Amino acid sequence: MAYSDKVIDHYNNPRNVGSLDKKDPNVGTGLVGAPECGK
Amino acid sequence: MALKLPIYMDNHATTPCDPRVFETMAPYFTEIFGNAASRNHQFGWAAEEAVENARKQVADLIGATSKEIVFTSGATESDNLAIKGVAEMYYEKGDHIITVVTEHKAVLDACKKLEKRGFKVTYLPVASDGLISPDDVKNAITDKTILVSVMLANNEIGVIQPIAEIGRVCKERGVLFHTDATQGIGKVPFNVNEFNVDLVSISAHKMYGPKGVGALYVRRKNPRVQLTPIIDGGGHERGMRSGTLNVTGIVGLGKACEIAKAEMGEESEKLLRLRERLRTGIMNEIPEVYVNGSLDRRLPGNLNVSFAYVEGESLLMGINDIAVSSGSACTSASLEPSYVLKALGVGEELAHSSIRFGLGRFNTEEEVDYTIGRVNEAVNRLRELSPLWEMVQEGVDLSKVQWAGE
Repeated sequence: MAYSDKVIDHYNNPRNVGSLDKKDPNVGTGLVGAPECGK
Repeated sequence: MALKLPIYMDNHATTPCDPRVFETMAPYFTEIFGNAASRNHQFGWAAEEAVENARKQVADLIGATSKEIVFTSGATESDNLAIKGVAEMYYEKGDHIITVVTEHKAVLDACKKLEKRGFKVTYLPVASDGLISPDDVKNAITDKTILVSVMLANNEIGVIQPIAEIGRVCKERGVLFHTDATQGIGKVPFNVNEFNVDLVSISAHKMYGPKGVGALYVRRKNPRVQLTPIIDGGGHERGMRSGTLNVTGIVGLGKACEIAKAEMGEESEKLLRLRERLRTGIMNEIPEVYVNGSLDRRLPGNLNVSFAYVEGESLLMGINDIAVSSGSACTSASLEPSYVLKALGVGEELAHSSIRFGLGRFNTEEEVDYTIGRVNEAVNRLRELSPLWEMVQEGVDLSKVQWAGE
């Protein structure tokens, strides 16, 4: 089964990726998912 | 020579039919189409002659005699026939079977079915290199043991089990020994008498033959192995496997065995050279890449590696012009990574990030070099996106993090 065009587009042009400045008082940090679930 | 894309590097899943095999098979579709069981005309005789010639070619590859080869639809059927056939024939002698946790599902699920019918099965664990020790087999054998089944080479990590040593143990204890040799036959030296093996499963399509045909070696002397058939009917293959013979496929399997016997030495040297080129090309460039399973005792064409902090399936997307396989059997229904890697004690994170490269007869150095470039580029890109990688770069020890389980 091939991937859909939409999935491939998001893979090639990822949205909302990157880091925010952790020292900025307006930036909070949280933890979501676990690597052993493949996330 | 220009590189042709996509590149096929998944030769443990299946191999292309060698053109020489295909040419040998071609006349048997249209001209020599007889039923090998038709004893009263030339069409049948010609088909029978072709089948017997192929039987000899298969036997020659493994040091057997022609009469010990039973043709089947493939290694899954051969595994089922060997295990269920022995269980049913010898159940009065004992009800215990020994196998290994990293076996192919055809072996494991056949054993599970027998467990439901009252047989007892010991699943031996493997060491972190994927290998079992012959002593473990020795210690697991009881008075009730009728069969030991250990694969020659693993389909995911390519490690080669010590079959000769296990064969010796089984022979000493008078226990039948079956090996699923699907991945190893024609790739590494194998001889039924030197290795003391009583039953051997063989598949054509893993050794440049056609799909849908295989064989089971069944020892006839010292000891003479008897099997209860799982398919009943016209009594073909000395009653062990009824059904009109797949003459065309059998001719292909025979030719594939003949070629493998003639070219195995040279081919395995070439494959090992390509495999090491691939391995060093990746591991010298990228940190935190781990080989799964023993590197020394391994099929020359196999490389199974985990790329830490990269999810296997996303890496496959990144190298979409190269056909390889993710070691993790992730499906939409299950997030379970490979049971083989888990059996080695590979952590779930690394098991999720594994890729199996299967090099074969038709791969070239140019293809390997292209693959190295693509893999390295994709891993670097995905790690750039990965919050895990970022945490590691900041010095966080991921093993100490309390993850939110789901």
